[in-house]
Amino acid sequence: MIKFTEVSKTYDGGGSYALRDLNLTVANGEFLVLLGSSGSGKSTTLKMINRLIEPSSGAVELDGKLIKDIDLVQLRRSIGYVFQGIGLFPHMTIAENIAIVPRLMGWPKEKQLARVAALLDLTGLPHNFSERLPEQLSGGQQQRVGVARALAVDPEYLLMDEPFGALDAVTRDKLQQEMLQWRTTLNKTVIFVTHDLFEALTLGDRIAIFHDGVMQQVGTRTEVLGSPATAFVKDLFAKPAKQLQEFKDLV
Amino acid sequence: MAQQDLTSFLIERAPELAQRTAEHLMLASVSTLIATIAGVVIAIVCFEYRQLRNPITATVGILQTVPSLAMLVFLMTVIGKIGVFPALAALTLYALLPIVRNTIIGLESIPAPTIEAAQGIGMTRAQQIFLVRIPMAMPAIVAGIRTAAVVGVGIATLSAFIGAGGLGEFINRGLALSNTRLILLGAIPAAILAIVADGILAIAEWGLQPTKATDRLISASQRKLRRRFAASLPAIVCLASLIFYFCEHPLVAQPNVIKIGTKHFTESLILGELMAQAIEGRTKLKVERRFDLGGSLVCHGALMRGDVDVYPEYTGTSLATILNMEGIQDPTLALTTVSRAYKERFALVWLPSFGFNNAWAVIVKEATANSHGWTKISDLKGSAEKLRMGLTSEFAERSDGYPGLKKIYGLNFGRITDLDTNIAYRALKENQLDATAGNSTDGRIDAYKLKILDDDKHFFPAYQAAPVAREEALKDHPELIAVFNSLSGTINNATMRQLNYKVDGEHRSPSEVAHEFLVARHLIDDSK
Repeated sequence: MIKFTEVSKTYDGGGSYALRDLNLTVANGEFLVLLGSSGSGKSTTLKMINRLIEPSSGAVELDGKLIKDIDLVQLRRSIGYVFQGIGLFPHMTIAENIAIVPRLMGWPKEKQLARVAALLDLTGLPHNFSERLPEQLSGGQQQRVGVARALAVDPEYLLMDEPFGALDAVTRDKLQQEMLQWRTTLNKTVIFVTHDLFEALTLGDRIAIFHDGVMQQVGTRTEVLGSPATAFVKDLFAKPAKQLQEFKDLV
Repeated sequence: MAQQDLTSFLIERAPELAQRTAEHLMLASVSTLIATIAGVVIAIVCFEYRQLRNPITATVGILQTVPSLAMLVFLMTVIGKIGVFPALAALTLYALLPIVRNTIIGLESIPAPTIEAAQGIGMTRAQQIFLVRIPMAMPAIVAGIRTAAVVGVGIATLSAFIGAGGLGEFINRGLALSNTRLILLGAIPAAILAIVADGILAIAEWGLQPTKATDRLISASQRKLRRRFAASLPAIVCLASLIFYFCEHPLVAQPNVIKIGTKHFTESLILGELMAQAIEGRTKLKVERRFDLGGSLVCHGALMRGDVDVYPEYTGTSLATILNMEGIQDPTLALTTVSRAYKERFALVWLPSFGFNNAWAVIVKEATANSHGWTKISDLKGSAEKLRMGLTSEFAERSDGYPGLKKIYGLNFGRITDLDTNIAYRALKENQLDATAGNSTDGRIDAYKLKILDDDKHFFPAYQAAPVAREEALKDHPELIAVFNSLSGTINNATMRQLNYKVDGEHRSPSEVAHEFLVARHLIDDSK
């Protein structure tokens, strides 16, 4: 369980807030999507969980323990982290990239290799990719490697920061579907950041909507669609709905 | 005697060329290796502690602007030894800048997402540096090493000045003897060495660069092999030069070896050879030649530390640069003065003089002197304003040089040019200069038909040449004293000029000229 209590982040001593007074609880096994445009506070929220960003005030707890009391390196190794862009180490092979956390944790070589093979299977990558370098893979394949790397030590929590943001629509759609499959087989708690409304609706058990550093609403897709808490949330869903209607009319 | 032909010249020099090349390669590669290790560490420290970055990079940058020769001599003084160690220290300091700078740039140029990934998966700060930043910065680091190595091969030529050997030995000797062939014998291999070093490191760079998407797919084991090969190539060269070096220079000092030093000009080299061959011919001792050292202070320092046992020195030089005393015009008094001071202060012995006095002299063209009726320096008074005088920068500055000359004789030359002696003599011969200051025993005086003007006011101090030896060496090997005594008084100014001319003018080697002289005077048997 991850719990945010009155968490704020300011970079200028209170002049403006990247995130303001966030209260949010993520239940175990839940798939929570943080939705918002850039600068809304969604990535700040995510990065506070593995302490890439430290809150200015408030508390973040992981399984009832304040995360600032947990050893930073241990904390990060126990949380899988996938993100957009070139997150893979360009000088390491695919196998080395996937096995990096096990290696840091001192797993024996055979166990590392077995784990790499299992993860390549899970993420649908051929085994002969293991000796290639990230640059020799397509964007979609690289992102699968990113997921495999995040899952390497079987962490309970998985943080995903717009992992499919840079992919083309077809690849993204495919990965979203696989994502749904992975989570049923793996039973992880996933926190997933996106700015894509449809991705949020497809993947999230619950969706937290962020705007200007403030979480507007958190709820299931029925809740956020059916009873928007603020005008922002209402507008957010109204616009695509209108576009969809226009599209239907056109067809 | 004509110059020997090129083939026999090369054959004769081949063994020494191999030795000097190995020394050179050792100096350049070992200093680059040390600088690489130190440079990467310094760069990491700069990277981790930002506030140190500017002071450190500024210091390293300033080090590189220090003239190489000054740096060598300075480090020689600090380290208190001549030879390899100060040379390696100086070369290492020069090599630092490109390596430190490139490593810092490399460490800083890692894309932010990669660093975030490293942090996000829970790498410690050290792991981020050693597993991510350094491997990714490798091409930049290797490029820095490459620059450092090429610069190092170049600067290593100067190490010969402080007795560290290397190809600079040929260059120095060539410059001292105005022998272009010898200069090229050092310069060409040094240039080739620089190109080869650059090539080897280029291969290393190619092997260590990250694979690009466009590269042919190769397996991980192939890639590993390639990396290993690329990284080991420079290491092998470095190691090989070290092994070769230590084969040539055993670490343990050999007993019954007399180490003879000289400065890097013809006369000193000839005197060094005379002593060396006389010792070799008349005792059972072996001689190690540590010739071409860069000046009196270097030679004196080497003598004090026992790096050399004996070297030829001049009384006037010793008074001015070692003892910081006024020059003495009377040759006998000068010798007794330095002799007493050396015994008391340094436990060094001035042996009997070779017999000549290589004092400063004002030199003009014989034809010009005859037409103006010049015989002594005073004769120049009156016409000096119209004369062009060429001076070495040393003579121009020393109180027993031009400033004193000007005062005592009341001479004000019309135009004064700072020149290298070699150039000054040639310019005099070709009428581009009217007068120059030089040494009384310079071989070119006779050869170029020049004339020494008499020092009628006895301004120039005496420069009696004599061997200066460590007391201890003479005690250990008393048979040396007889050898030095036998050389005493054998060479007057005219003889020395002839010997110098045989080397400078006829381009014969100092060792050959010395041998010929010793045999002619029955000082050694003509066994060789």
